[in-house]
Amino acid sequence: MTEKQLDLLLKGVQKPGRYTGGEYNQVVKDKEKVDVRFAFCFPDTYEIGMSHLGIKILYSLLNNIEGVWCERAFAPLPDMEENMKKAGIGVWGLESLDELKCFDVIGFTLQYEMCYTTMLHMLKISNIPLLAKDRKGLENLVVVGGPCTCNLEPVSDFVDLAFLGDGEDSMREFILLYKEFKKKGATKQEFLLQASKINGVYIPSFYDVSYNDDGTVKEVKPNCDAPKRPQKAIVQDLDNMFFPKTFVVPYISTVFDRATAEVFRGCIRGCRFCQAGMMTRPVREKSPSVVSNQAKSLCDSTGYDELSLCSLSTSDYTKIEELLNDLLDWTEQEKVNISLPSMRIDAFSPELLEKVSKVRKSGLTFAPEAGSQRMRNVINKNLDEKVILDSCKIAFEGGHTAVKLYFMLGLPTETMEDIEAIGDLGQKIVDLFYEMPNKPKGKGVQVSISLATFVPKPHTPFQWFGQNELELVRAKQQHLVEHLTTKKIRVSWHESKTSLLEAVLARGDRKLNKVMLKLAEEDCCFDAWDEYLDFEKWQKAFLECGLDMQFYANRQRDFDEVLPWDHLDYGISKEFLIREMKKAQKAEVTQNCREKCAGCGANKMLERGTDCAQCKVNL
Amino acid sequence: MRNVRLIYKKGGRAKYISHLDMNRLMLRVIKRAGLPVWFTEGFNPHAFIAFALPLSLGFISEYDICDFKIEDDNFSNQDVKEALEKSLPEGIEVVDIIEPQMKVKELCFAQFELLIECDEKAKNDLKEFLNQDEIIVEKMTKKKKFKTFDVKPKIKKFDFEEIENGLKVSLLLPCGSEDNVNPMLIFDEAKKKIEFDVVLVKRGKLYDKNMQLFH
Repeated sequence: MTEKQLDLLLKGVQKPGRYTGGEYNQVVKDKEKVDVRFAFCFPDTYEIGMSHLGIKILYSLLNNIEGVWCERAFAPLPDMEENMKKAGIGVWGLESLDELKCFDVIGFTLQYEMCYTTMLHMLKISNIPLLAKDRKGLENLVVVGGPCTCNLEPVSDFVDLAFLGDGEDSMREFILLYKEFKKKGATKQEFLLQASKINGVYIPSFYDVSYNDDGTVKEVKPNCDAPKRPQKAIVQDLDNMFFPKTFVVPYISTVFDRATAEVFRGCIRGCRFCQAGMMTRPVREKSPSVVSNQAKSLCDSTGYDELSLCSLSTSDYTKIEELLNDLLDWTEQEKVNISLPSMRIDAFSPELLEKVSKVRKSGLTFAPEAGSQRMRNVINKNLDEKVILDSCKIAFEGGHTAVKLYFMLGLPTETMEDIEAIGDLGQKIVDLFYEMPNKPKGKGVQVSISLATFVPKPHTPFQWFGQNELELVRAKQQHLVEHLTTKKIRVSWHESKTSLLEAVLARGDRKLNKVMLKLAEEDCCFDAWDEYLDFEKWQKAFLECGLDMQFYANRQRDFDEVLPWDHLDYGISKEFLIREMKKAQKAEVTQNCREKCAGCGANKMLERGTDCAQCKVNL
Repeated sequence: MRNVRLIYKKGGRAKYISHLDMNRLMLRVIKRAGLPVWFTEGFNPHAFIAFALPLSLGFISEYDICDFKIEDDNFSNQDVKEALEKSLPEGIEVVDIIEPQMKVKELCFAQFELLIECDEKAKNDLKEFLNQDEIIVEKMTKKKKFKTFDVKPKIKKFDFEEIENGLKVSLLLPCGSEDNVNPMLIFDEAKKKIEFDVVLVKRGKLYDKNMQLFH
């Protein structure tokens, strides 16, 4: 596509900056001189995709390889898609304005299940055959990465190859192999066979799935010389891991428009509902000086004046004080603000807040996740009420008057009393505010309670748990609202239908490919957005395929059932997950990894070996 | 500390950067360039920059103005220019760095050039349309109500040039805080009767009330 064609397409389109490319720091190469062209697609809007750290790391990593040109592509909104349809133009890479079908490899990052339909829609409107078996050549290879590949069975028919775990090493190996095989004119099959040997690569078509009469999985086994259990890849040494020296700087404002420095991967906490915390083990930290230098390079080269430290739980970084001192050495002078998302409530000390001097006094957000202590023990969120109240007190004394609390509803063993406890906790925070002798004058307090419906995820101790039915979820939401007696507490929740579909897809099997294909034919797209989700289309598709949402979402599994993702090795043992689930049912807590090793098995992935005696016993 | 006026061009894909986004962009450009720009001293210090005249989304320009203050007197205009040139994104170019001579409120007229694609008949219709004694247009007020007025007396000068498949129209229109006319106001009105496409709008030089080049 030429720039002139782009001008015509953009007529009357909202926020054209989403589609133009040309941002500062984008990488442009001579397409006649590159060997492999890679389209890095984020199956959502530009604003969301450009906020994602992973795409920035891998974009830069791929473009640093000679002969490889990686571009970015995002999903067009309906107004743009309309114009594209009229002009007969599909999704394009922002750097070259060439359409996806011109690319050797089309990569999607799957960050959440509800983006599956958007991925398929992007392929569809780009005139690329949806099913992997219909793409015969080596070109237009569709590859996926991101957390959802831990069970991508519902979209396995559409995908040629998936990356499990950290992508830095496996993608580099993959792209070099592709370059070599393209040069020697290999077939797709020849390439895939060789690629299946790369650590962290999973090729769905190399595995056959058989089912029991009740619809559960009987067996998954390779149909060729592919590894029996593909294992996720991990980066061994974060200090020497590739990290971009700069980011593409968007023109339009995106959700997170700032420099981001990663401080560590993995999480010591072991919250039983948390997929990220389980899947990214073992914990690997970066040194403070490395983080600080990388952050400075980013700020200098992008012009960002905000720096965000990124990890699953930044306050668990062992050298947080040292890092903040390193950062403050240059950020103060360069007028860069530091923001610390993902802080645990119990780490919220006045000293830490003071270090992060420019935190603006807007709202504060905490995630107790559950209202009663019993429930918090079930999910292993090791946090007691006193800590929550103390943190709120510090916040109020610091001048804050609004607190936002995140809770989950529909957790295993939950009763109506646990639901009431959510409201009670809110009430205690309100009371706390009014009991303060030095409370801010003339201001009321506002406690916002945000309820998410719990979605059980693969590779977590709750992977066997049947999600609460929609009616029960609604009854619980209603019960909480009725239990409240003050207007100082506001309750909000997400669309529960989305949580149901998420639960279906998260633990789905290959039978769902039929459903996904139907949804693609129906032009479903942006289903992660309430305003675009058409639930009736989903219901219809399930009905037509003779499949039942409840089977996937609400059914309680037995420990001995073969789960659709059991053949994917994420380093944590099934025994550990079962142990944790049993402890959850008894409301017993497990200490964090630094206090006592729980023997999950992830340490065995470390090349330097594990020094943890407990691990050795448990393995 | 001294005042600095950046005169720049905006074109290519950069024409899709809105006025609001330009502000953020320029702050980042300045930071990347390492310019010793004066920061406000309030609760939330930020580099102080001011744009003379907003540019509509999709227009290109050859004489846009951004003012700021430089704290380090050893930093010459040439230094500023070189630092900015290294840090500006595709489509935005430095025309000149000067010491401001006029105040922004002295801005009075802007030169526009529109590339129009149309057939022969539309060419004549358009000429006739602009040659009318009165051109009544509709404008939305800040209160979201429509008001109508005659725009013709505000068009200080206009001219046509025949090009392949269309016309090049140049217009001199009032701009600034006193009175401001967007050329699309006139051509959107014309579109109600005549079929044509505005392919490109370029805002050219800016002038004060005596038609002195704004500088």
